[in-house]
Amino acid sequence: MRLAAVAGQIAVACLLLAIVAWGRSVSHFPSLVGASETLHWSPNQQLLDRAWAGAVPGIAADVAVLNIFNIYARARSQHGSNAPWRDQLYFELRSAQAMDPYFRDVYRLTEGLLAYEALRWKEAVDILASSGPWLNSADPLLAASFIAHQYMHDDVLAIRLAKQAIKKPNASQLTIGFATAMIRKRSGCEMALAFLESRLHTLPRRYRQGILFKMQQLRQSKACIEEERRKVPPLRE
Amino acid sequence: MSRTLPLVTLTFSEIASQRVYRILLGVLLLVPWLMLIPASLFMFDIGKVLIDLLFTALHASLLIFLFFMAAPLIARDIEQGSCHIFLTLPMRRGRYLSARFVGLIVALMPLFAAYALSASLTLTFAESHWAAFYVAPHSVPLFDYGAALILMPYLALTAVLFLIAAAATGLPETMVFLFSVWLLCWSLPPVLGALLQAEVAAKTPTWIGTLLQTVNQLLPDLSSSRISLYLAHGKKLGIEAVAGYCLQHLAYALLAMMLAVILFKRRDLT
Amino acid sequence: MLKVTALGKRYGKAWAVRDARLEIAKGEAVGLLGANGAGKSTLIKCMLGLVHATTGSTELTGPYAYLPEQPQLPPSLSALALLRFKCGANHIPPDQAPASLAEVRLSAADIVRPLRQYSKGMRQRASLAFALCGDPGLMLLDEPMSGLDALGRAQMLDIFKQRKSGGAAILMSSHIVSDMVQLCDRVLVMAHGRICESVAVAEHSLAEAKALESRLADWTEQQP
Repeated sequence: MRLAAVAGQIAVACLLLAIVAWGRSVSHFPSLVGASETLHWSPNQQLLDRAWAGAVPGIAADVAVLNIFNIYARARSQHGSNAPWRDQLYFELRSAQAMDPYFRDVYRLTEGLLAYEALRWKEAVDILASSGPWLNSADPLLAASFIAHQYMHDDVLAIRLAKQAIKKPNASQLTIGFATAMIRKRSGCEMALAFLESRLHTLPRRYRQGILFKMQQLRQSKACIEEERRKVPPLRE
Repeated sequence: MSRTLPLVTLTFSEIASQRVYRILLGVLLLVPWLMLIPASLFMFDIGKVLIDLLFTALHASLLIFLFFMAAPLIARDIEQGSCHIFLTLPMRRGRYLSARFVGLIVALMPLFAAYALSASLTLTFAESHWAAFYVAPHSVPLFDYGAALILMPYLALTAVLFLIAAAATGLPETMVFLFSVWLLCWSLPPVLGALLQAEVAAKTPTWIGTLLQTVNQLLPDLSSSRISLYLAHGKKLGIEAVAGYCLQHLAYALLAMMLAVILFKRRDLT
Repeated sequence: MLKVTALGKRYGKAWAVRDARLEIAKGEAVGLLGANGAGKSTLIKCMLGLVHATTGSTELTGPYAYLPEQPQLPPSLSALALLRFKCGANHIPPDQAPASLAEVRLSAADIVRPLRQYSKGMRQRASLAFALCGDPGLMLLDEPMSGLDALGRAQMLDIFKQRKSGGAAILMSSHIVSDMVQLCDRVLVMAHGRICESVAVAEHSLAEAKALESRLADWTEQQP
């Protein structure tokens, strides 16, 4: 009798486990992550983010960056315009930057993904430019200046940002050279390509596609081809 | 003083003999090493991410100690009457409460030390094995310094626990009020920081800011957010600011304990 | 050893204890007999300062011990650890800890187990050992036989008688008349928060116990 009771309990337990396993296999609900129409960055959003992050805003920024990795990985695996991922990307970058404005990875991802892949020039410049009070690095400001000049064609903004970049302690020859060339309105294809080449090392290999694509576009553009032709002296007969 | 020290020792023994304490001790030795896994997912600032994770885990463990070991000890002591055996030694109520407080802090120290040691070893390992460990040099002293500073507001919060328990009817009431205080301490300071920014301030009515500021003044300053950010990025903290930070929390803890003793002396222990 | 003068405790408009007066000398055992809710525990807690008395005063001289009605002991500690704490706090020789535990018939294996593993009777014994440790001159016992079986009660009574003959003063509250009659020299009958009368116990006999029960019933039935 006792054996029968134990066997019965084991059988019931196995049945319940089977029900749990079956339930998990069939209960797939569609992910709501793609529904980014409601994800709009706002000052109130910053309040909410700050409130829940509390005494550990650094980890909140880290989580946002992890989200960015996921968003980008998902966008790369899907084909098509994928407009919603750009909104999500901007949202997470703003969130991360608000939580931890010292976090350099945020600015690297802004440049590499938001600017060169998502083509959100204005938003990218906004984030990169706001690094000024926080970082002692010229990099984000330089990148913002380049984007403003090259893609937004806003030289006033570009020069202002370049001047800020020059003042940073780690302003390199490239920074100074680029800023000078812009101020003298002598920047061109060669300068742009050199700049983009220098930005490749700021990102891991898997996030460089945007910059590489831009370099390729630049090389194939009429302006660059013309510039190359002008450099090569005509053959003497 | 003669009865205070034995009660401090007894409190330590009472906490340390619980199985959950030993489990937490083991977990705290292991957690820093587990943090290497999420940290490795990042690009360049791996050191900063690792320190963020370590600080966050420290906050979590201090909260676990406060809510699941400290609060039940003192709340049940008063609610169920186990404090009677101490008070009828005899022992003054103020001495009893102070001894319990000090005993809890003493019981926290081995957990804190174990975590700090394990985290220091983890950081040393990560620095030597990850080329992309991009953080200011000597991250171990940075972390230990930050951990000690993060401990300060939790001393004040433990004193607040005693203040609540001195007047509360039992453990559920104590937990509800303590959680409410912690929630306010957690979320208010960064919100107030955000309200200083022009674009946020423009959209928020002034009276809300004033109200939040008033409430914030009454609570312990749990916001070590600036400290953890600064240290994670290898930035220096001003000595005056750090001294002020430590002193204010110690003073707050003392004040809260004084109020707790006043309340506890006035209540009937039925 | 103990002198209580006009002690009273009021909760709102209701008096839990009113105008309590008693005096206990060295070597004397006094019982506090009353029905549930008569105010016995409240009176004892007022004497000890655990509850703030509304009126009156208490004089306690010499070392004293208290055994609560429902002893709550730290569950994660062992009885031995608890008694060692008392020895350290009250400067009692450490060997008194195991001696007190042996006196209440707790075995060597039991005294090192955590208190949460104890039965109700064992907790009562451990609490009593805590009270007895250090040979207090005055013992305030609130329902000390609670949770004990007949054999346990007999053993406890023997301990109390020994302590009494050693010069300790005892105040014992209970609603078990037979236990009280065996130990006490006089019994204070309490009803509706008042000490109604003091009855001397001369012969420690069953007849006296029955008489006390009758007195208690009379006082309890009267309007407050």
